[in-house]
Amino acid sequence: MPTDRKENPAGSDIWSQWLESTLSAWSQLATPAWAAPFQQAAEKAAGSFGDQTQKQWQSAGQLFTLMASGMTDPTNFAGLTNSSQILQQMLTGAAQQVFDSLGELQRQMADRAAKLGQRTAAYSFEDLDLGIFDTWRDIYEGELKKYLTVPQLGLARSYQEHWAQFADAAAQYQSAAAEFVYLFGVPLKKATEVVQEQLQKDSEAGEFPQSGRDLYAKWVKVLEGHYMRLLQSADYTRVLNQLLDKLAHFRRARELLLQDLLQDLPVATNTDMDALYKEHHRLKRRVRTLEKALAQKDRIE
Amino acid sequence: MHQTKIDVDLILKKLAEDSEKARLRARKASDVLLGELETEIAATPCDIVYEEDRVRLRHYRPQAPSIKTPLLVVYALINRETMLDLQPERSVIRSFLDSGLEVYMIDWGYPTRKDRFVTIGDHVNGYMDNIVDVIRKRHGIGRINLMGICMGGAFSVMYAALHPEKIKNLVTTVTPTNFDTDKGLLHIWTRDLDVDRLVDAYGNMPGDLMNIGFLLLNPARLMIDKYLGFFENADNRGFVENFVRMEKWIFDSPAVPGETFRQFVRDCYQKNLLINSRLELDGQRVLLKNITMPLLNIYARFDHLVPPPACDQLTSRVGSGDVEDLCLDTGHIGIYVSSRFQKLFAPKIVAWLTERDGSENNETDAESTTAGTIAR
Repeated sequence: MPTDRKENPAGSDIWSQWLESTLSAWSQLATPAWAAPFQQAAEKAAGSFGDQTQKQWQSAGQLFTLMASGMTDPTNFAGLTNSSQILQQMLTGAAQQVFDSLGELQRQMADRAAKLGQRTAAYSFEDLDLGIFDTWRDIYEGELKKYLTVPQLGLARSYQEHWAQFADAAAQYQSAAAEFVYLFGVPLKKATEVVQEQLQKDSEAGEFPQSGRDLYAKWVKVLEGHYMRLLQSADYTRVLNQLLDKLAHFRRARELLLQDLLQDLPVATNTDMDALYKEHHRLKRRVRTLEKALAQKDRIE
Repeated sequence: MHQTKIDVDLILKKLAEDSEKARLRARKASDVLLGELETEIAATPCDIVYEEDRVRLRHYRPQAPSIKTPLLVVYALINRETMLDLQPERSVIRSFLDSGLEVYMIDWGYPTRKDRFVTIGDHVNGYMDNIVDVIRKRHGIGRINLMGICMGGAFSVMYAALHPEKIKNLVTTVTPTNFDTDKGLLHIWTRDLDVDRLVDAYGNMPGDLMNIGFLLLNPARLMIDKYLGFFENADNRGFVENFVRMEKWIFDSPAVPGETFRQFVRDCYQKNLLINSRLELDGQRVLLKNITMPLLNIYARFDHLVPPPACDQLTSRVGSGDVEDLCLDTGHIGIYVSSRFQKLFAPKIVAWLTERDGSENNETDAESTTAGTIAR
């Protein structure tokens, strides 16, 4: 499509015609005839102020007409369209990467859905499919996070950076929490499967729990056994520590953001207070040491 | 496919009976829950005899003192010391008093952000040392009896090693000193914990966050079964009252000062310095060989927080020749609150202290200054 426009100058003709008519309108506005009757009165009333305003108006109009007339040149027009193509290509490329990654995620979810009917061994947590969380993390780290770590520029740089850090920390925390919740729910599923199997066997033998309490007691005992096994597994320790780590990271990022908001209000931030507390603690220790040294000296004397 | 032989009539009859029972129970339970309940905890009268920052010293007086040397009880920074006085019939404090033992107990209070830089050294060489001096001065004695519970036991071990001249007898209960074990989930989980990041983010370690960790130690029982048990017994006033008392205690969780938490996890759980006499507080090495006073070490066989391997090495590492290990067939909390162990735990400590309550040299250097306020 953009290539067509380059080869066929029809687009640039329309562009040129529009620009020329706009130019003409702006030229008239830059030296406004309607302003003439009022000019003298305005100059008298505002001294040089009215004159300056008119000059600025004229100057802006001339600058615009200068830039616009340059754009009627087909070469410059091509440059403009090329620039817009670069942006378009960049956005398309980024979208393509994200869609590819999401496609991979969807494929993994479909794989998992296909495995739903499959049994996993009771009391075993070695065969858990945590791949989907790794995939999401890879997508986030590889494709999404980079947009949050684009270098920030200018006066508001640090504030923008804190917002980006907060968004990043929140995404990582959500991901870690989702993995933890999934892992924590696995024993519930496994315990239910084990009890169902047991019930099936019992019913085939003509036995069945006499009450809901018996059934519950059986289930909770199996559940406890599953949890005991899970809680000691390396995967659980890793996921738990990861959750705590991301939680702390999120909290720290949130605090930075709040401090940015609070710094213009008459409210002490944690950083301010911590500095005071640290000093207070240091002085208190010093007093304690001196008190004890003094007491020791008194006893000796 | 086998033909199932389930007696459906029997099951339906049972269901009907159960639903009738549930209806009656629900009616009675509403009377209990909407009526007046006695759920007060820590009701044994005491005086506050010393205060410093957030820390207070409680003094419990027996009606007829029979043991000359008072006992200072040091509870953990996790949860509150009210566990020792949950209710009159289940109160270690009351048992001590009934046996004629004069008791002091540290109330660590509720740390705020101000306390985030307070270290283990500040607790042991600061608050504890000041409190020990206050008690020595009040009684005109040189040495007192010291009893520590869980983390408070670890603090007591550190104190006894750094200030052995002030301690006559040491009692440690469910006290972790060896952290190099896989028997407890806390030991496994904290091994790779990034404690710096947590403390830097939170300042103090929030009690609720730690409570979540404790609930995760046995989710099936602590998050499901326990509350089902409550609803099954909600028509029993005594059960409900005890249950609510326990809930009040469990979820009364002060934060742990950040630097103390960082040091305890890093130096104890991750580096296991205490049992190896390599821990340093305020630049002083905590040498277990300095613990030369008699030592009674009590722990619980079914303790999932501080398992026996975390406790049972202490007596072989100290310098004292008078040591005793006692392993009780109960859990971490059961040792203090179960009716069965109420009859065993406190009497054992009283008997052990009585045997060692010989003549005390009254010369005292307890004139040392303290940073807090002494109430007389």
